[in-house]
Amino acid sequence: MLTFVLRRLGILLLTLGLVTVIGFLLIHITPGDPAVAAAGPDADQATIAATRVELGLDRPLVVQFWEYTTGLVRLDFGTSFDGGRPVLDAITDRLPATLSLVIASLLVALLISIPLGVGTAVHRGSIWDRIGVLLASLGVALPDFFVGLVLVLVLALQLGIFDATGYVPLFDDPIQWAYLLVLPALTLGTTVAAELTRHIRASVSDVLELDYVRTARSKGLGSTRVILKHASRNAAMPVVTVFGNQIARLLGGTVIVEQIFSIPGIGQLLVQSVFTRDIPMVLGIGIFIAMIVLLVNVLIDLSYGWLNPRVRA
Amino acid sequence: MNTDLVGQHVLDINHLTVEFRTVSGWSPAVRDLSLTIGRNEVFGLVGESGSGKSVSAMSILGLLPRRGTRIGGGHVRLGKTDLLGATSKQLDQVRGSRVGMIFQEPMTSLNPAYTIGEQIAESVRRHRGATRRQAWDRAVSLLSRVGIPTAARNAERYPHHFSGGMRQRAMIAMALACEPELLIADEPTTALDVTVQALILDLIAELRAESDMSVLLITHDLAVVSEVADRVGVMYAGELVEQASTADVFNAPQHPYTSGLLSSILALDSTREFAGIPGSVPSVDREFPGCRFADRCAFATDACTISPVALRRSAGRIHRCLRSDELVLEGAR
Repeated sequence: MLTFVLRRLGILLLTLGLVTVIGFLLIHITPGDPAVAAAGPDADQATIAATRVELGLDRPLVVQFWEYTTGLVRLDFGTSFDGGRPVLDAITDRLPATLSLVIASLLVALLISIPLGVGTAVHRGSIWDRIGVLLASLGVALPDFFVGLVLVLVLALQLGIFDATGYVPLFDDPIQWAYLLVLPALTLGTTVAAELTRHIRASVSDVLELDYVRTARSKGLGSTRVILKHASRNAAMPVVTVFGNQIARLLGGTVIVEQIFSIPGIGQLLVQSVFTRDIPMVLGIGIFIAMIVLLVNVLIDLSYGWLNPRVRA
Repeated sequence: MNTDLVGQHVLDINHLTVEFRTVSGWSPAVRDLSLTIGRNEVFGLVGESGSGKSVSAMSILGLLPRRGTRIGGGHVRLGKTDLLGATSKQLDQVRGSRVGMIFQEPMTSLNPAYTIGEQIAESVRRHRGATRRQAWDRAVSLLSRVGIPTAARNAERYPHHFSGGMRQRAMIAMALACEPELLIADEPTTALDVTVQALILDLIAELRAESDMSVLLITHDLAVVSEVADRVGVMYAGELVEQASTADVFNAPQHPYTSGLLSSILALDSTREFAGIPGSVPSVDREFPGCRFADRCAFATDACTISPVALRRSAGRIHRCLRSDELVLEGAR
């Protein structure tokens, strides 16, 4: 078990290294001069040159990369070109908003997909199953921003049930926090819910055909217990894998959804930083998100051991 | 059928018809099956795959998939309980409690995610209202009874740690957890090595001897039946074609199909030439005007193919052959 964990962590570090290299190179080959952006709109050539030296952009790429990565090892993500603020501070400042959005969206996704997926699997072939499958296909096909805009139009602007935009930190006002998160979480959660529903349905209906489910029924356990105890644990394995992939998708989705609902999260910060060519910020956010995705996937790998005793051996 | 035994029957299957959905509509996979099993009796139900024997067994406990199958008629009684008319709640009180069931595939019939002990104990908790501790202790003693060594330790292990024979023993322990009146064993030895087969059959025979449990033993293997069954029913293409005491069936079969089955199992250890039965079991949606076995039967005449053959009774035996009086069929000697 320990070697398993260590090996997974090793792979994680390696992947993170690759992400850093690729991210660094991608940013530097994109056209446009960050020094021009940092120096401001009215800067003359001398100011721009001075800014370039100040930001260290005049040095060879290899040197820049070396400095950046040695900083990363000390958890130093560098400082923003725009105001000189440490990148990590800016990220952790905005983390609660993004985390709130992601967790609320996951909650929405699970609350929709588990009952819908299990229900359609149990009643496969029925009219409810068909409606469920149709809804899931629709959810997969519709882009986040479209769902979001429709929700805002109908629930906020037309019916006035929710506020269209805004965010309040959890500790300032928990009720307002939850209230404002409903629309963005629905926007981001429905596509994930749709994807998960499809996988839960497929996985559960496969497992329900298996011999040991018949054995459980032959013991008179009752269908609720048969499904919740005997089928779900085995059906969870493939679903958990998909769940891991969806985390990455959710984090990507925050970029657009934070924009639509003006939530001051990491996604919004990323968009701003791209416009101001704030290289350390863009790179830092990229690496930070990659780190979260990788960590979640290590946790998911570890959950297999709990779900399936054969993995533990 | 011995009518003065009525009332002592543990299981009474009466005119049971089970239908499958096929492209041409609902087709009977089991037709008009009637049989009874007495207290402490072992009844062997024999037939090739596709003969409807497993379908019959599944329908007793309502374990057939709800989609694509339905009960076409008849009834099944366990003591005084009507099983076909029972709600799923009522069925759940019978399953695992009054009727235990073991299946053909010990490798896939146990849940890989839970320990052997837990899978036995949950049945005890469900039906006996036992505490976790009591149920676990019962699981351990059951495992020990079915011949699992160091039962206390093995109860904590998972199915993948067990061999096929051990898993089938665990399945038996699970089926017997609540001391059922009836054990349904659906091909319990088919997936096992020959040496393990004999041990499992011995175990079933022993367990039956030390309680008043009845057994419905379903198998395609007449050799298995000859070891433990008191009476035998032979099924072909969804119908019962012969039913009698094990000795009668083996010594003097009254249906050519039974005789054919006997000749195919004995070919290995006798000098008699392997006869077998040409052809294969017809699919459920095929209709026959007369005897369903006629086109595979060496003794069929034109009369056999005109109208369906009803069950005939004589001297405690039942068969479904028009020519049984004139034929002298070979048994197992």
